[in-house]
Amino acid sequence: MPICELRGVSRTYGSGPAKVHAVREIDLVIEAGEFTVFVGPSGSGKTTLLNMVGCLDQPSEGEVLIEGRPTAGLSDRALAHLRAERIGFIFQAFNLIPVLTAVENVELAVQLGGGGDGRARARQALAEVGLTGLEGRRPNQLSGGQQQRVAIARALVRKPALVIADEPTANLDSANGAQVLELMRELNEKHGTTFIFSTHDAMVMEHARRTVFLHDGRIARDEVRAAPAPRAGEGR
Amino acid sequence: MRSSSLVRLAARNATRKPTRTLLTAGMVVAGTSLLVVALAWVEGIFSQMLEQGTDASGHVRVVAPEFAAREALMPLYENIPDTGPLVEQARGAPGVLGIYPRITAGVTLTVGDEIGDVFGLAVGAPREWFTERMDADASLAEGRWFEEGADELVLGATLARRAGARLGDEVVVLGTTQDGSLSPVKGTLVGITRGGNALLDRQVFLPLPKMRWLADIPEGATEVLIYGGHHDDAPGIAAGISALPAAAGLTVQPWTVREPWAGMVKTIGAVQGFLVFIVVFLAGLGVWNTMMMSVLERTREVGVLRAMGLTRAGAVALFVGEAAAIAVLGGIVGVALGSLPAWWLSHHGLTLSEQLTSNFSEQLPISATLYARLTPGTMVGSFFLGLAMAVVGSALPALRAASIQPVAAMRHER
Ligand SMILES: Nc1ncnc2c1ncn2[C@@H]1O[C@H](COP(=O)(O)OP(=O)(O)O)[C@@H](O)[C@H]1O
Ligand SMILES: [Mg+2]
Repeated sequence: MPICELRGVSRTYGSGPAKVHAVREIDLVIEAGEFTVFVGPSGSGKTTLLNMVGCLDQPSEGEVLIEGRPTAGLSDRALAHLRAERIGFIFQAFNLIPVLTAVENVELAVQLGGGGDGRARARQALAEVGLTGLEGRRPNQLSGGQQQRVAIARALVRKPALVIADEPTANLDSANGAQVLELMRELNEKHGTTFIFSTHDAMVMEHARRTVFLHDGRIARDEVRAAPAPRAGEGR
Repeated sequence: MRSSSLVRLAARNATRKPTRTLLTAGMVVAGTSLLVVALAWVEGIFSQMLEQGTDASGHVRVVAPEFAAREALMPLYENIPDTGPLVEQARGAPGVLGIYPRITAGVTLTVGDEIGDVFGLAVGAPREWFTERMDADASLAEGRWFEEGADELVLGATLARRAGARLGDEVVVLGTTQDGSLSPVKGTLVGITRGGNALLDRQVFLPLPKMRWLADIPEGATEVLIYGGHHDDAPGIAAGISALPAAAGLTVQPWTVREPWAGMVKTIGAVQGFLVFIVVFLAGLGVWNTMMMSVLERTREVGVLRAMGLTRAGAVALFVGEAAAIAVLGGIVGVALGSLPAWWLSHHGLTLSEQLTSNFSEQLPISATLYARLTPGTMVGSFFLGLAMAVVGSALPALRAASIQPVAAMRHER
């Protein structure tokens, strides 16, 4: 069963002459364990599409199924629960809570999902992204790359089925960006977690197994590479 | 959802902008301290009035039914002709500590050869009533109190001044008997009272036998005043008195059914309710202002939390919780700050000038020195009202936060 399926999904903003078709009639199936990137120029609809895949937003037309279940009729509370349980998010601007330490940020994700043992699980997740020793730091005491690792730990701590990452490397230099992508890839292979991320950076898309090209809100091309992508040259 | 993280986040958020948090806390501090002082003040003034008022008019009063119906006219002919049996039987009734027949009538005063043109209220009662219930000795400004059987009387300060009476003067009190015939009595002025109470300062006080003679009610009185340990005991005492054979056919009234006291109890509630409403509303407005700023600033952050599974109710709790955390500290400080002046006022009171007092009210006995009454209930209540200010003020901002969509997390404009 696919992790996520989009059927005839469109999303428009506004109405009348100012109406914007951000995403048009998308059909897309994401299978479990995929490492997929949405690529396209700015304004092509990547974020809009990720919003709907991640159940942050509802399509204007068409339907989104998560693990085979339609999401259209779900209440706000049920959607919140679904996101907490099954979906993790990584953002371009990291979006850590500035008043919480690294470990508290991760622990918050455990507790929002209703899980126990949050502190221990948060420490373990931070260890997995290589941040042991920095648990007590606040976001402003961490580098951009470190912050994004905390965000990855936060997204993965509840072992979600799907992780959504909107331009996760856009605020990082290329070395840090490559490390973050490599980390995501490792976690994808180790836990089988499905990753969907977006980028407009050609270097970044080379890490992906599957590349979905967007143009003006439509899928222009959908490529799957048979072999694992080569690792970035300038990494370790 | 486990809430310890949310509680921590709400508390941490309160530390984010110290100046703003201080502003929010300041609203609560100002609100609660104001409430402590105002509520203690109102409670003090009213309970003082109730205590004085019920002291002057009896915790329980027994009268003829027609007297109760036409009390404003002070009808001497609607009297209890023989108060002896009632006084005797009431002595054994549960909770009763004092029983005093009393006659009250409008009179004019004459000093020396002047024709009387000074009006006053004559009160005739046993001497113990004056000493035990009217604080007679403390209220004496000059001279002494009268002897029970003597041809002596005492005047309120205002009345004495108007009549030009001095200690030792012969004062003629001209009233009427219960039949309406003119009836003068004569007495030596032996004391002048200044109770600080406008009403009392316009009275002339006579021994009961002298008053009985003036009104021509040799064995009786228009009222029998009965007292227990505290005015709160009145309803129980009234029930006991009603059951006495001597009370048959008479009207037994605890103060709670008599005006102005019955209305005053309602007024206390209304005044306090109004104060609470105004203060909570104003402080809530201040909290609303600062909390709204926080919500607007943290739109994306709320979006992130919503994306991570925070429900709308959780978003409401986060901001109401933050305001409440601030209010807990603000409330403690506010109650402490307000208790100082309230405590001072409860011990030292605030003294009104005599002029103000005598113009104050003809109806209510308002004492010249007003004391606050600071109870633990007022302090605890004000603390919780401080929390209410936070909840009221943060309600709209919190609802605003709840309306932030999870997609807000994905927007990355500065
Ligand atoms: N909230 C919105 N209101 C109006 N238009 C929007 C909104 N979000 C996105 N759009 C428009 O939808 C289109 C797709 O935007 P987006 O999904 O952000 O593209 P990308 O992430 O690929 O840059 C753009 O034309 C953008 O201006
Ligand atoms: Mg985008």
